[in-house]
Amino acid sequence: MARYSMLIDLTRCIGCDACTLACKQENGTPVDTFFARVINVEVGEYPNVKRLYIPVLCNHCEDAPCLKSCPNKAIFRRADGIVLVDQDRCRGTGACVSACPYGNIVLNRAPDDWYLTADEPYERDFVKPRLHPGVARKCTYCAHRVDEGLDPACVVACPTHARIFGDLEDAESEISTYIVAQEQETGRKPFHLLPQAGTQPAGCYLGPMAKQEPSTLGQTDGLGEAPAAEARRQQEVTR
Amino acid sequence: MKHLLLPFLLLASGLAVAQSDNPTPVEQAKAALYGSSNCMGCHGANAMGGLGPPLAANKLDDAAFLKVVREGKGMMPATPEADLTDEQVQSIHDELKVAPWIPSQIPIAYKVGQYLSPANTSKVFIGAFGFFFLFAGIGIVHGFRLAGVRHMMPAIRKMGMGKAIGIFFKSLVVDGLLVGSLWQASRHRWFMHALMLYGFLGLLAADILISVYNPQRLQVPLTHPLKLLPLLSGTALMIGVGYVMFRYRRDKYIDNGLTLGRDFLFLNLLFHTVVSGFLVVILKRMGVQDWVMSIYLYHLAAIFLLVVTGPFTRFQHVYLVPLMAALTRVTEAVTVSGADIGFEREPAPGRHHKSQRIAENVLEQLGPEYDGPARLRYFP
Repeated sequence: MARYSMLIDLTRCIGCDACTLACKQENGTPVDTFFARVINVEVGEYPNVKRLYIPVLCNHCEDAPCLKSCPNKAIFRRADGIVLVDQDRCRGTGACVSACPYGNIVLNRAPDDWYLTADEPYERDFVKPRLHPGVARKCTYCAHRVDEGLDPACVVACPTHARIFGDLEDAESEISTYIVAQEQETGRKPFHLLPQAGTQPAGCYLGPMAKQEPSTLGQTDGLGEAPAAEARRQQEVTR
Repeated sequence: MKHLLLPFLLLASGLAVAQSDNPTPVEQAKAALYGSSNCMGCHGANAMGGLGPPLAANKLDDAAFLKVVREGKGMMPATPEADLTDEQVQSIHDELKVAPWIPSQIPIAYKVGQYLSPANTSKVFIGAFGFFFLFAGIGIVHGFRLAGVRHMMPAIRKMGMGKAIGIFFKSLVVDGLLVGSLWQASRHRWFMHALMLYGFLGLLAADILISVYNPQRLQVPLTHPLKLLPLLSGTALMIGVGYVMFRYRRDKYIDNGLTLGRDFLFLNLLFHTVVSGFLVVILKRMGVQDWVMSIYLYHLAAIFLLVVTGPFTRFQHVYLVPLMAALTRVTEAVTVSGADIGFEREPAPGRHHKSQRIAENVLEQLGPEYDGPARLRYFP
């Protein structure tokens, strides 16, 4: 079975929040609810200041603490590693909100503020059946899209191709080859957020590089091709 | 591991004794009184021992023998005059003095069972509970870490430590002890939880009270409070467990893809504990002494396993869910009080502090190039 994961290359992230908006649009989340946000960090003291963008979303942990703390068994882990909150089953106890060390579970007890009026077909027919009031919600890795063979909305929207979604168990998938290629070419190894929390997250990150050759960043339109990608293409041609 | 296997060994050997019950002519002759008494259950059909020591070819003098019967010894319960008169004890002793010594019949159960004094048993259980509390404690500390309490501490202090502790404990009582969140969600699930929770607490309380008021675990009538409490609690627990077992077969949500095996382990151990506990009481009342001791040991083994595996099975939701829910209540209160960074509302309470922690962690992992204090920036 697959093990879906999302790799986020911090070298490429420009903090444009396109992922945040794409997620809001795809999932139709109400006001103040963000499944995919970008943490905007200022590092250091003036004049030695750096800016770092850390896009975060549900990590779909292998040993998910939210799942273990759910008294209603509303949170479950699919065979492909995607962790979901069943909206019918959740009773809004709220234990998962504290259990998630990343703060990626949203539980709004107050009535939701929707952007559109209640009778808009989009929110009425598409969004509200998937986001029940008063219960826990979180990023689903766009499971409804993944099931149809599509990438999550935030991945599609990213203008710099900083997000790569795919199956870690498949050595041929884009994410797996990217990880291998980056380790060979730039020496960067993927890391997880808060590894000491022991949650074994699916989401992983590649650190930013101060100086970068566009050619080392893998395949992107208009940026040229990485040697690894070129080699891959040649292999395919010779096949 | 030795301690884990021990009760099962005993069970197996105890059953072997119970089944190898082919009366010899000698046996038939002396079965008159010894066989009809409660002695046989532990000391074996041929008085060559079971859980208790062999009594055949007994060398004790009559007074000492009577004293042991009347006052009990180690695991052996005291037998009052109402159950066996002095004359009956005497005639049993007479039978035993002439009963043949057959060394091949000394069961393993006796050899193992002699280590099973109340003192040793309680040592094993103190060890088991120690193990449980150690790992449950680690789980609880981990829960506090997951919730990011340390990062949130300045905001909690600003709101008021006393208020936070008040909310925390109120939530522990309401969400934990009263299973409050279920009360609103589903009455029949609340009822099931109440049966199990209060049944379990009742059994714990009963065991503590018995240890204090009846340390020898002497037989007491069914209407005695020390008997009524565990019986009623056990019945409640049994109904609750039965309901959950039924629901586990029907409910499509039971398999959450991660903990199903551990959930079943907990449920089955609880089931075995309760059923064997009731069997002990019933068989004792029916006078089927041969089986009582084996099943009692099975009962003890099930409790032992339940306690030792507790921190890793579904048992952990008993303390983990109220803890995490209480921490969420505190976090929500901090946000609402405005002591936090001043968001008007925060649908994911505590998120700012967790983001701060993520930022610090990422900088740490990125190495010396990203050294320095991290500040989060928000853009409206």
